[in-house]
Amino acid sequence: MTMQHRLYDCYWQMRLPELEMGSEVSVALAAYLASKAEGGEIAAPGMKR
Amino acid sequence: MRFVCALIALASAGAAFAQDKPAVEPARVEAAIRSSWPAASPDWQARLVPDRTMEECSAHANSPPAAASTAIQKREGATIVYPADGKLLGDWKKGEALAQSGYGLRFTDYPARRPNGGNCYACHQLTRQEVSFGTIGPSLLEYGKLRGSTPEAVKAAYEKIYNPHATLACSLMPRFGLNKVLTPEQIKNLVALLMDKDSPVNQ
Repeated sequence: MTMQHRLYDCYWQMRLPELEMGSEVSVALAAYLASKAEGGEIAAPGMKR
Repeated sequence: MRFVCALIALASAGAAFAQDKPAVEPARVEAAIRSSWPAASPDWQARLVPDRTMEECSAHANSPPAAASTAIQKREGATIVYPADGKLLGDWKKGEALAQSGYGLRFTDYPARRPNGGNCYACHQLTRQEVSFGTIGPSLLEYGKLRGSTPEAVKAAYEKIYNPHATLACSLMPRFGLNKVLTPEQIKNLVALLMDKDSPVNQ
């Protein structure tokens, strides 16, 4: 499971069309999330619905 | 159908706040969006287009001036359709099943194999029994117990689910009634889940 897959599923759950893997939106959003997460700590395991 | 919260996130990633000059030009963002869903049919492309309320909320980073907020709430409030029988309380057990279900309107849900769900637990805590819930929305535990089941409180709950922008101009909650995610009958069942004294929400 890559970040691309996770974003693809994220848009699916938001009822949006099928996100193109490797598209500019997918790369920009992954970069944005990575920059926001910088310095943060992962709390695991998590819980998923 | 308008589910573009992710696009709003993308736009704010480009620092598209109202008064500041955006770091990324809106036209550049538009071009990126157009290129990222090349396979979508015109019907699906339409889901990527914000409506007037979303445009206004995005332009003000979800905090429009008071007059604009009032105008949005009035306009969105006018879209609310009430059940034909005038009753706003349904069956809380059906409401709980709807709150659990995330089915419907995703690109793998056509043709529909079962009724749409509300996916309420994705953002809200509702009952003590269900420990897997999201926290984007406030906890709704003891919703009816805290507010009382007056006709006004029941009506407010129905309206909140049908069109949240009627009470909070730039709410992050989907407009379940307006966007035909849920029928008025289904919304009644969710109102009962929130309001019924026997509902697990109020235990």
